[in-house]
Amino acid sequence: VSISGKFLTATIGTTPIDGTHEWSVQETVDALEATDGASGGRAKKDFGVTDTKIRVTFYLDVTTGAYTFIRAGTSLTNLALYADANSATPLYVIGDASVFSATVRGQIRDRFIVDAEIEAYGDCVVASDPN
Amino acid sequence: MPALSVSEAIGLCVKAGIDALALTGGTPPAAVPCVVRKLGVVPSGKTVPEVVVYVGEEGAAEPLDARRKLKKYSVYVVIVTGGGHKTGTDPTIRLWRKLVEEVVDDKAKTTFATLITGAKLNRSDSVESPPPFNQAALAADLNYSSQAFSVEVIQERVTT
Repeated sequence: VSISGKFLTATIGTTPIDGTHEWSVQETVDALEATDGASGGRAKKDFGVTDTKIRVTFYLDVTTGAYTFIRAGTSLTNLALYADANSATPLYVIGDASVFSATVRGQIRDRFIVDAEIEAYGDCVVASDPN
Repeated sequence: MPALSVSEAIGLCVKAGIDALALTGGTPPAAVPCVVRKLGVVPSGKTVPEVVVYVGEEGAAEPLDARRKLKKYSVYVVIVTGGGHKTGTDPTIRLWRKLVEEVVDDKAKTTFATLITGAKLNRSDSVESPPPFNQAALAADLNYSSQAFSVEVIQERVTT
C-alpha cells in the first residue's frame, strides 16, 4: 500500500514530460434541473455536459528543457497521467487535449516551473484505477 | 578502487577549481597545495599554507520527477596557514576566500562542468555554517579560515 506521489509522471504519447512533479484532473458535470411535481418536494438533477480540466506542473531544465510544446493554443495527443511511472496503465489518458493556459515562471532563489492548464476536447477521456 | 561517488566527485571538482587559481604563499613563496580530506584539518608535519577541501555527508533527497532527484552536499574549504599566534588580519587569506567563493559559485559553469555520469550541478551557494571542526582542539599555532558551501546536484533515480 502506498499513497505516495513520489513516482508520478505525465507523458505525451510515450514521451515523458521531463520534470513533472504535479498533475491534477478535475471532472465536473453540469447539474441540470429535472425536479417535477411528481418528485414529492425532493430535487432531481440530470447530468449535463462533462468538463475535464487537467493541470500539469513541471520543472524546466534551463539548459536542456523544453516548454514550447505546451504553449497556450496547442493541442496534445494522448496526454497520459500516471500515478507511478512504472505502472502499465495510466490513471488517465486524454486522447485530444487543448492547452488553454501555460505559465513559465522562474525565480533567482528558486526554480523554473511551467504550469499548464489543459482541457479535454470531446469524448476522449479514458480513466483507469491504479495498477 | 570503487566507482566514483557524487560526493567524491564534488570534492575533486572543487579541488581542481582551486588548483587552477594557482595560489602562492608562505615564506619563501611557493605554490599552495589543495587537498581533499575527510576533515578540514592538516595532519601534523604538513607544510602550510594549505587549502583543504572537505565534503560532508549529504542532505535529504528530494524527488524532482519520476526520473531525477535533488541532493545537497555540504562542502567546506579550509585555508590553513601558519602564524596562529599573531593577532593581525591577513589580507591574502581574505583575497583567497573571495577567489574560492567564486570557484564554487561557478558562474562560468566550469568548476562542476564534468561532475559524474548521472549527476549534474543544479546550483551551489555560499552558506553560513560553523567550521567543520572544533577550533579549540586544533593546534593554536595555525590559522583555520573556513568557508561553507551547499552544492545541490540533480541525480538520476535508479530504477529497477
